[in-house]
Amino acid sequence: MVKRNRKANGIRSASAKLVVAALAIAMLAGCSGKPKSDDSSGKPFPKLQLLYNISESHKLIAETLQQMWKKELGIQVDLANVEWKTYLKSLQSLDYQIARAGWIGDYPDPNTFLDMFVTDGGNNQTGWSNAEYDRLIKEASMEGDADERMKMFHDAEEILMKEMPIMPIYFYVNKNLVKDFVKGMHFNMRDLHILKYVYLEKNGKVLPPQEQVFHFNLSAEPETLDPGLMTGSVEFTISTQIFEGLVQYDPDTLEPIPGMAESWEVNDEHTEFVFHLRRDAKWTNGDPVTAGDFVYSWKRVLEPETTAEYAYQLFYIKNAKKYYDKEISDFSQVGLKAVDDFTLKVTLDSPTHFWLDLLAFHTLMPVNKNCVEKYNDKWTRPENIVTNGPFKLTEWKPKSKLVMVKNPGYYDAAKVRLSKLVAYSVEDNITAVSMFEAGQSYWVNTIPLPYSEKYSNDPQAKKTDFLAVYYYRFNTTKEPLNDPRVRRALNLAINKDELVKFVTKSGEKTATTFVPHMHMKDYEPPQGEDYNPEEARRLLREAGYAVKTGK
Amino acid sequence: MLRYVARRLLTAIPVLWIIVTITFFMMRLAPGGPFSRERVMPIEVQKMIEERYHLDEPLVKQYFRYMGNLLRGDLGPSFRYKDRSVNEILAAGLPTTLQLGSLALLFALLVGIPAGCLAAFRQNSAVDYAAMSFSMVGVSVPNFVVLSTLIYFFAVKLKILTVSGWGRWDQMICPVVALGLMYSAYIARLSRAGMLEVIRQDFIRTARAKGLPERLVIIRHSIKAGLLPVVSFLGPAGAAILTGSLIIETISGVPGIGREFVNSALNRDYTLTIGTVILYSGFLIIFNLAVDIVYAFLDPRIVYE
Repeated sequence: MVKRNRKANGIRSASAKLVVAALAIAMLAGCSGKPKSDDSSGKPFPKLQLLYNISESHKLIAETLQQMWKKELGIQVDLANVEWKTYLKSLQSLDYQIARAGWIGDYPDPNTFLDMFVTDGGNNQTGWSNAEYDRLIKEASMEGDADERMKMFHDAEEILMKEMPIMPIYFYVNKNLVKDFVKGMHFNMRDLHILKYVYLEKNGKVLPPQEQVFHFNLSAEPETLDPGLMTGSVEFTISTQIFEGLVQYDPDTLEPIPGMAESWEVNDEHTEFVFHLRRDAKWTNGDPVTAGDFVYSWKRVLEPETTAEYAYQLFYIKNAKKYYDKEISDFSQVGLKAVDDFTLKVTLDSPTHFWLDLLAFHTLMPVNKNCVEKYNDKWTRPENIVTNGPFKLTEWKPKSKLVMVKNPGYYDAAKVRLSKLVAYSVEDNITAVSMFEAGQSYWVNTIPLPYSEKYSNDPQAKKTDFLAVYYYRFNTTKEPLNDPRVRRALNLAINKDELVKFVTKSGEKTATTFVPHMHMKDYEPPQGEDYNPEEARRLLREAGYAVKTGK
Repeated sequence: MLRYVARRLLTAIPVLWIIVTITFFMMRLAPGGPFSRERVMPIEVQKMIEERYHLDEPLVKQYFRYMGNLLRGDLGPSFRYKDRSVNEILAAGLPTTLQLGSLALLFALLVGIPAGCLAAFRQNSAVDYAAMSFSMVGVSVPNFVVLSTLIYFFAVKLKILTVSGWGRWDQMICPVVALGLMYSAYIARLSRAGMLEVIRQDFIRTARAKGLPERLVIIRHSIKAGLLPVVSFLGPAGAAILTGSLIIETISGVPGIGREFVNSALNRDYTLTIGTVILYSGFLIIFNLAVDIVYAFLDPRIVYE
């Protein structure tokens, strides 16, 4: 149980209320102070440029917004498309006015969405800064009380939506194509697929083991199979099948369920975790999986020389960041200890509510010390690799395919029904659908735009809400977008319902706020603003611009 | 002749050096880097990664480091595919691309030359018109359209061939035909034009006049001279087929290096880009040299000093 600190709560909620009240007063003052100006007065609105990375669907959405802004507000917007790395560079150097963006959450918690926009946050990329927002996000990260924490996020998002450095458009939907004889596929908010639950069935009968071969498309060549170094979902699709962390995800809810750890205890502050490892878990070389393996693997990620891009996911552990920064060299000061072979004790810096969720992430999956040290950078080759998951890698033909077979030494092997996985790394998504239609693959993880009509009512098409948001960034450092009224006006002029219905067409939910709240049952999002062109025009006039609409 | 070849190969070295140097600096001028991501990593992590790949050093130092490794035959680690070196990636993909390219070229020759010759010897007949309209279509339709159409009919609808992959004949037909079709059309036109020019020459009239049978006139005298334009086309065609297999490789899921040629540049995988550029420049140099040598054999008037 989490302790509740009443006094501190009272103070915090009171201050939060004050902030909201102050904001409301400031808004009222801003609105009432100026007289209404008519269309002809005010300066003309300058031409804007909208930046997106090359893609058919981004283009369609950008064109739709361009038309809506022209129609409702008489604003001219030029579209500019650039390749991916140039686009990223433009965002980071604030060399844009409006830019399309997307964000996928790491775990179902507002923090993974809202901590982006703190001042100087690497992912802020809007130039926006708000001291109150920064304070709320920081305090939420140290708050032990779950309800109070959610309240802080609510208040923070309210500020974000009032100031609007970003404009949410819709919450993503995942589109998978799966053959009807594939059973046990689960569709969840992170589009994670744990294939040990899958099996093939024909005419109502489960196929015999030798026919349980599952072909699917990965959509790209994995950059690496080293879980400590991975960064992308393609890699994660493989690591989930061949490795297993302390916990694993429930395939539907993604709640952490026992994996290598069969049970754990947490202290009241959410800062100390003791994991009890299962004794029947083995590496594919026959060695038992021990607490020492986790200490080794996490230490490896925290060695700067390993150059793990996601090393920061371990920075929640006490002194881990100091070790990474070489401020301390003694690893025993880091809050990670193998009490005995099957007991692992982890001490965190501050209460971290989503810590358990992170444990199933690839960065925290165990690697085998002997294997890694013996083969160095060649340890992930099929002839060398040692793993602990339900499947093991037997073949990796670069840019062609990966083959995995059932791992008979896996503790839960009796429940794994697929005997073989064949994962193709075909990049072209039209070819991927052709392979599916020709029966060469049974699962494709995307339905490209040209096929969306064809599969709109097909039972093979599975659509699920994704823990991700499609949005636009505003560069808040330059005129005219440095004025929150202008940003809000641009948002109010967009009919998101129409956009989702006629352009994206996959049943996406429109977003008036930023956090995909439907995946977070304890989180209450602030009230967002709906389509309201009248109000949009009023705000623009108030900001001193002449509004000439096409009407 | 040998001296000529040796000289050509020696001049290739400074050419390659210039190409590598230009590529090296051009890649660095492109915005963004191999580790720029949508999800910006903490500054300390970014620093460590740059240090590991020596991206924090002054550019000139990086250049000399790279050239030093290159002289030892080491193309460096791939920035994207962390489990593999550039040497390894190229070595794994090269045979496939060569196989695809040579099969496509072979297909182009086997279809193009007979079609062109037939058209020339039956000039202005139905055969001529058919061959030339076919070649017009072949030249105009982009190869990815041909490939997508072939895949749709033969793999998705009829299920005779396989949609993607490489190795078995049923996987190879679609990409080979799609890649070779345009070149077969060019070759048909070139060989038709070449043959038409040759059969009007004096030495052909002489051959006919001395009573040589028509078949021998064609085989012994016309074809050799008439196909010279095709031979000179083979150099650039061979290089173009190899470098042009990018789209075909991507659509058909062929694990060659054509994909790498463009993808590595988009990914800012500096080392892999330079590696592929070196390889392709090598192809161009060797193909051009080979064409010049074959020329000497085909045309007695050409002598290399």
